[in-house]
Amino acid sequence: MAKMNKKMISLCSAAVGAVYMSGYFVTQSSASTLDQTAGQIPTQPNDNQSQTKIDSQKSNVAQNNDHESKNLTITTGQKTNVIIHKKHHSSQGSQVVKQHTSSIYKDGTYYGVGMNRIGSVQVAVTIKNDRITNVEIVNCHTHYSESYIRHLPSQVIARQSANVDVVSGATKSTEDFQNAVEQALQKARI
Amino acid sequence: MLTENKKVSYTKSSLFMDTVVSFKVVTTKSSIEVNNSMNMAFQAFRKVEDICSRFNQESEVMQLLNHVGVPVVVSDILFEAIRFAYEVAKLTKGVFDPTVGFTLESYGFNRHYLTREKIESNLEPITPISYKDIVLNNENKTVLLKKPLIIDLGAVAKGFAIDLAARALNQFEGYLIDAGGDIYAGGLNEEDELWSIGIRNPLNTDDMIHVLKVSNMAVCTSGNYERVGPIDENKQHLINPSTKKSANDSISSTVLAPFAMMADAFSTAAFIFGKEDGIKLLEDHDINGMIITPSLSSHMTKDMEDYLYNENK
Repeated sequence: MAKMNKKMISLCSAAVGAVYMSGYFVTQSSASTLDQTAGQIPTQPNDNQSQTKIDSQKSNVAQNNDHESKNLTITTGQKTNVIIHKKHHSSQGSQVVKQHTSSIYKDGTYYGVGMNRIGSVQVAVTIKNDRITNVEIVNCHTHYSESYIRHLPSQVIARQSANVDVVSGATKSTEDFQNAVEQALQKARI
Repeated sequence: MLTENKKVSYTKSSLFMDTVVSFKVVTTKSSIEVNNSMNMAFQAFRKVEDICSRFNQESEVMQLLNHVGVPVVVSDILFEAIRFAYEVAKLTKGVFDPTVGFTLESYGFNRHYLTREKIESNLEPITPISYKDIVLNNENKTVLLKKPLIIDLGAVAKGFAIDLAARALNQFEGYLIDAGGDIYAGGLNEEDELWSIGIRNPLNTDDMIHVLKVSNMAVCTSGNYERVGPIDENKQHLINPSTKKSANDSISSTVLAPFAMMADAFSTAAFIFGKEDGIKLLEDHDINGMIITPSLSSHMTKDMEDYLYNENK
């Protein structure tokens, strides 16, 4: 039966490998190199924004390559295949279309503050072509992860809790962050 | 002054897939390297979410609905996620089934967590559907839906994103990926020890009922206690497609595996099976894990003990 386990492991391993090979992350790492040569100081939200920009230029190229190879599959393979890829999966493609439709948000990074049960949280919401491309938690994450542990009174397993690095099963729904995100989106509205 | 070999910890958090995703890296490498790799790892979450979300009509997985009956060439991310979900469905004879998307949507799990926009896929709940209505072609990487159906990748996509993020961070001496309680712990922590992972008490957010010590291992926990059905609290998000119900002799299930996609899918499957069959499923496949019952007793696979932290050990 351990054979099945191996099958699952090799499926996972192949999945990660296939995505890596497909170049999704190649674009990102070349962006990283650019980042590095530009000698950027990693201030989080700004850095993120510039990363997105570089990435979008780069991934245009990658996307094109991607399409070429897919087209190749089509000509050699069945003619009935549909490629929804082109229109939808690449955000670049849909952005071109979107420029002609009315947009809701201005591009940029916007901050919002909200309260959750731990205290206040600040988020940086990045908008690009009407899409939320990133929501980073700023000025809160250290506090957040500390209190994550501090708030565990450890009645069940005394003394051990202080040494825990992380807790599994603590699905934090983003409800706590809703107000902060909403506030940032308000600012982004045209 | 920092000495040359002093390890430093870095943390960063962001919101993805309706949860908080946090990375921690422990390394002697430069902060620039850490920052670049963390951005790359976040990129993995962004890509997987963009492609696999059923809360966004534009996502690649939802676009499949417009092409029922035709083989569609999809991205590697979508293909691999569906293929894995399909294999687990086959292995569990459909108890785990990714085609429950429409049922979940009709139970009110239908809003995008950032925009709160509602998604409604006016499907007619006509004939019964199952994973057998998905046809995959491994060579051409195509997906064909035999009937209109919504694929829910909720039990694999987050795990897959964790695995891709782990790949981006595995150059560091120690790293921890926490995507809303689904975890991958790589290398060693800042004390040069195994990472210790608390398992949450499903009945009390502030308690833990076990502590595990692991390295290079994913730990995923599934349970019904966090996401209550918005319309009917008995209609929850982890359901057996044939009965359309949730298991009720287990309240959480935790699975350890070398990949988070595997731990994620099997913790969901084990949860749906319930305590007896769930543990059997894991043992039959040489996977370790535990199931917690409503009375808080823990049912474990036989080698699970090896990972438990025990003060007297």
